[in-house]
Amino acid sequence: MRFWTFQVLNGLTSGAILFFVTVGLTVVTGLMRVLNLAHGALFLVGGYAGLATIEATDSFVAGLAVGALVSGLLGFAIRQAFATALLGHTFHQVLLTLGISFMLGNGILQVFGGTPRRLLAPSYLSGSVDIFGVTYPRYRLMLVVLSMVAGLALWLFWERSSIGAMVRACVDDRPMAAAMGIPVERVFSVVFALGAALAGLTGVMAAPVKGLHIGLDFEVLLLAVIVMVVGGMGSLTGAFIASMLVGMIDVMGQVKFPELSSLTLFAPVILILIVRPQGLLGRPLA
Amino acid sequence: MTSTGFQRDISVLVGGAVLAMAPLVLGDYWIGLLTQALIYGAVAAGLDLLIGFGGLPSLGHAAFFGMSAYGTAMLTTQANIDPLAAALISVVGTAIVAAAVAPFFTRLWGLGFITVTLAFGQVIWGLAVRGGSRTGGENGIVRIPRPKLIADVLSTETGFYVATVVLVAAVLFVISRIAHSPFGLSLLGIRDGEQRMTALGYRVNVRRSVVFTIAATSAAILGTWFVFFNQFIGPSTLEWKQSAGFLLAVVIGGRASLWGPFAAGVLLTLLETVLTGETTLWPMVLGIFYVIAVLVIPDGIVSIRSQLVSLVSVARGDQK
Repeated sequence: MRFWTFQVLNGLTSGAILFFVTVGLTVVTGLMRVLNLAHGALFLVGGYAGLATIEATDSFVAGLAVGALVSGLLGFAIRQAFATALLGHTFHQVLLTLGISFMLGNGILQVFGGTPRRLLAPSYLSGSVDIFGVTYPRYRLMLVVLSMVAGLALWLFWERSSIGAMVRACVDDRPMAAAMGIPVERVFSVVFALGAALAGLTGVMAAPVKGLHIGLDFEVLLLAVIVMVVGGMGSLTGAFIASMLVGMIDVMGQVKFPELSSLTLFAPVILILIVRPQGLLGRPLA
Repeated sequence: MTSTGFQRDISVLVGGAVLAMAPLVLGDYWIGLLTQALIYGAVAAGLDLLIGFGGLPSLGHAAFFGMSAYGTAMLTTQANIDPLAAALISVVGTAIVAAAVAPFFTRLWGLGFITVTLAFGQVIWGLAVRGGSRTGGENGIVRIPRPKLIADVLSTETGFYVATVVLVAAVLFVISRIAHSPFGLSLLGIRDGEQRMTALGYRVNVRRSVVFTIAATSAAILGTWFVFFNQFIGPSTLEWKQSAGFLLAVVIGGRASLWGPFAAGVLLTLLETVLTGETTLWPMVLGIFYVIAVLVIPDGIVSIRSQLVSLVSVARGDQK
């Protein structure tokens, strides 16, 4: 029983991290119909930028800020530099963003080297707490709680604020939104940069749990793509539910059927795409 | 586009004959490298049928290449089946898998199709990595025997190379015939005007499934051949970066031109093998390639000639 409590908590932690990564990806994809394969690289760049900052200043908060800033600026630069190509053919988007992610990944390798790096949780969040009969790291619990709070805040912003309404309008019907006077192009830029910043922030946040190593960018990207597809492109609530689901499946699959873990993870994606291409909570693609 | 079927057949023949002469001037190292490059180029040409003609951008094509390769490797080393029989079983088996998933996958398009093929590729990759003693896990399978053909021609690098040229020429010949058949033209019609073709009574889904299966089968044939060449197979063959590489070759080469993706596939493979040995910066170079390909030649190298022609006419001040 304690074993399973532990695994469920691990699933929730993994889901919390996934949620933070996927929010940016799913909103950008839903909004611009652009599959940004550089999203994982932005996550990793943020993580390493945060690591360097924390090692220099000894402040975890500064690390979070720098991670988000660096990735956000990179995202903004990518969006400005490749504005036309990003809205072109699907395979052009895929190749372009993949190329960018190769370059970023290799850049990290050149600067930080290939040795996996560890980042410790800040001292005020280290240690463990007793919960549901198990002893669990405080930092991980904090991530789970934070994801709930952030999910709620994002949802309120998304559903209740006028900016959220503008973004939703652009997701649902871009030409109509433009006709109503919403600056679609600016919404694209802001959302793209914010999504990148969130990826970078998550890179730092996840580092005490996942560590930082070359190749993590693609692991994270693939998981985020799964979550996005299962939840439905552009759906915030879908992303939250799917994150927890996929986090759970990932952890349980690796514990119970390690030799089939790729199947337990990706088979639901294939099934959902075939049966319900719009995902659990997404809207049908026009 | 204006070349006739006869001209295309002749050019495949002449090109093959020229390539078959390469061992006269090149050493074993380069011949081995060229063998591998030709195989990858032909896979890209097969993928062009799916992307250029079918309009379906796959990010999981390596799955079929690798599935058949693993099949051959497992059957020969673990079940002691004759290499040629193992190859046949693997290719047919892969074709059946492709035909089984095709009707479901090809209902999707654009992002959906990319994601579903990516997910499928990851499933196959994961099965190979976690396959334990059957697939050799991360270590892969070694000591795969080559088939014994007439006079054991495949036992030398040169002999294997010449056989590869013949096989690749045959694959390209068939692919080109399919592409320029009424079926190939109907694919172009579906790509450019799906609703119109449906209205004309074409069964769009069936045709898409067929081209998906053909592309997968050509990859399967070459995957099996690759295993005979390399005599080793590991999970990196199934990685999705490999699929992305095939996609890159098609886009750099120029969609729906067949020879463009073939040439780009050959050149990229040569470049990658030479540069990975030289520098840890290869992924950076590859990344720059991806970006340049999209920004500078979005229609591929085959479009360069027509672009030059129009540039020249602009410089001359010709009237449009």
